Amino acid sequence: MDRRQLGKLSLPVLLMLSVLALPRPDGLSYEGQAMFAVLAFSIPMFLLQPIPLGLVGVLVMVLPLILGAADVGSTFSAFGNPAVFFLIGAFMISAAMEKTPLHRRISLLFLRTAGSSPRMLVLFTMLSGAFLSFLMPEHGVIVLLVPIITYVAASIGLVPLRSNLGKGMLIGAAYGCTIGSLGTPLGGARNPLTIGFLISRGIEVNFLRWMELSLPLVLLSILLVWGMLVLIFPPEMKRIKTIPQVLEDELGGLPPVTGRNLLVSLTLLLIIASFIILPSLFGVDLTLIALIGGVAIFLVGGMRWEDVESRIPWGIILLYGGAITLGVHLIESGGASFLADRIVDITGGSPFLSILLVVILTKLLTEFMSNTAAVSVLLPIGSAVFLAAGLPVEMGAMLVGLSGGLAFMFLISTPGNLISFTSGYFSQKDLLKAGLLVNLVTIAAVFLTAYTYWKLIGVW
Amino acid sequence: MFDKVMISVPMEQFPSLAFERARDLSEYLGSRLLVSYVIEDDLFERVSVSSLHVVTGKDQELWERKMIATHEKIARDVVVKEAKRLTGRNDLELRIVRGGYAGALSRVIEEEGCDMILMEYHSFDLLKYRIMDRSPVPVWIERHKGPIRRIGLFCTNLAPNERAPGAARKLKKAFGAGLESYYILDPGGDVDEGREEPELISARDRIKWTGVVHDRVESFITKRSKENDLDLIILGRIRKRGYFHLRSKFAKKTGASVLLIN
Repeated sequence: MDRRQLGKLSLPVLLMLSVLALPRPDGLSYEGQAMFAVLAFSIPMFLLQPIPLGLVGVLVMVLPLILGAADVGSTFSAFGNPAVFFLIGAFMISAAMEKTPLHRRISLLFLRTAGSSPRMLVLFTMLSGAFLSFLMPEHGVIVLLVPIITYVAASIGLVPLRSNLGKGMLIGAAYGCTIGSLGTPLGGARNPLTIGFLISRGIEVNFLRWMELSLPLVLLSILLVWGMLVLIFPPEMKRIKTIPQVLEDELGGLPPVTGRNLLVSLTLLLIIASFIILPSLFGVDLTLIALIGGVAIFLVGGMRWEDVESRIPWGIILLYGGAITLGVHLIESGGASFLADRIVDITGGSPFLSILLVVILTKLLTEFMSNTAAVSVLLPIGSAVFLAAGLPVEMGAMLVGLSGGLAFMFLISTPGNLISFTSGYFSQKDLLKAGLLVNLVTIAAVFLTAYTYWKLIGVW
Repeated sequence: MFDKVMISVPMEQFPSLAFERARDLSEYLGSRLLVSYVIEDDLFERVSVSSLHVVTGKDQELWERKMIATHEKIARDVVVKEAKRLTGRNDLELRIVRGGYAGALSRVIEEEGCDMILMEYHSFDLLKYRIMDRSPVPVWIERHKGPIRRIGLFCTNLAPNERAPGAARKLKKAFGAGLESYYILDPGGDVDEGREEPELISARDRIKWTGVVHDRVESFITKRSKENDLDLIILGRIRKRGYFHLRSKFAKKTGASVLLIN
């Protein structure tokens, strides 16, 4: 560890010690104060990342034990939450999808649907990212999608940093994946984290229920963000004459569909269908489907064990474990309800203000730190605020889970932005400009969805 | 100095203005043009660090390989085509290099025998200007759009002044521009030592000073450029510590292009 990393580490440690040294307010237990100290440590750790995030997850698990705020049993049993294993299963399925040329075919077919209209091309770039992010974690999608979109942009002669269409397509690819990742529990680690948190509170959210709550928001956001993008970066041409040929060439250049690829693709489709149908009709657990799906993919030759070892980012599993224990301990220690009571004193328990506060706070935090980290910090607090305001915990947790994914403004906001940035088609200034407006639009979209649609379907 | 000009294309800005200026240099001074497309390694490293917890090393490796191939395509098919259009030259040379921006460009200069770097002013990433310290050849930071009508030559006791006057006269003639020349005795340098220099330069380069002034380099150049609406500022590369950002600030504050000569 070098001097710079040590410097970054000193701030979280100082903050933690300061919170511990403060006089304890009435109504807050020692365990609650200790958990606030862990929170004060973890937020700058997630922001500054002096050590890899997976290790931060380990520290977040260990610190409550050292400070005497939790016992070993409850800490590590929280790590055994079914959603952790759902995540492992989801990554196995995702690894198989990355190996087949299916993702490439899907994204090229989406682009072809746009025809020769530049505006439609931006929309369908977003839709291809969003659709693939329904099926696998968004970061996996953006890694696959950015080379494809950049290649297409170069093939139709878009000049990097000068072409508005290029900017719209590449920023749109990142934003499409980000928004699409909200659509199903498979889209990003924070989704199973939210489900896991709700399970620990005795509330079950299955695949279909998640989609019921999130899909209208996804569709609304895609349309609004697309509108913003073509407004901010109006395409420099009315028609792209060369694109049909470029896409035909690309599709024609894909390897032929082999029997094994077809079998793997069918298995993947079957797994997705199982996620949607089985829990609703027969009450089958999501985690069970994810794990059996992972094994099934292995059996039909969709991947080898080496793929499992090399394509599952184990760091996120550790971060995830830390995140879920942080949430459980904040609630069990009474820290979350203590903070929530103070917040409700300000909002007066108004649903309008509660929704707005949770959405804006989550959005602010997620712009500067890892989505999963932001969600893990705010899940216990957000849901406690809703509980104290007499609103359903499910609503508070889902709001945090969904808003936590929507990071648009900076390269550090989400790896997707940075990965897309390496295409060279847009500058940091472009991202900032688009992200600022898109943030406002998506805050409005989340708020509208929660305040009107969720009320309509009886969430609150 | 203007025989073979390298136009650098970073991954964060397309240097349209620099290409337009390259057209002038090629037309008026017969400069040969080399386009240097830099695939910046530090960007890929940043991705690797920031996405370590969500994207595995193997996926990153595959992605990086694809992106580099795509950037090579962008350089060959898009950048060169656009550069040819902007410069009006079909005989452009292209070099695609990987590495840190400044280091990669230094390598190309050495290998290709370039005698000047032409880059575009970029307010967002000052690290790009590290090349100003590392480059063995003059660096032209293009900021001014349109023809060069007024040139300001600023010699100072903080910088080497051997080549700047000659370059100024050459560019004055090539562009048919007006030239005003100043010698600045900056209190931040060794003023006594610099006191004799204005006369020596004047005799050696047949330069008639518009003014010899005692002032801080930054404030004087900024003020004079704005008041006299200069399009190009020429000065020796200031080596004094603390002046690193100053040189790019000239372009930012005045809207003029800057030619730094060592």
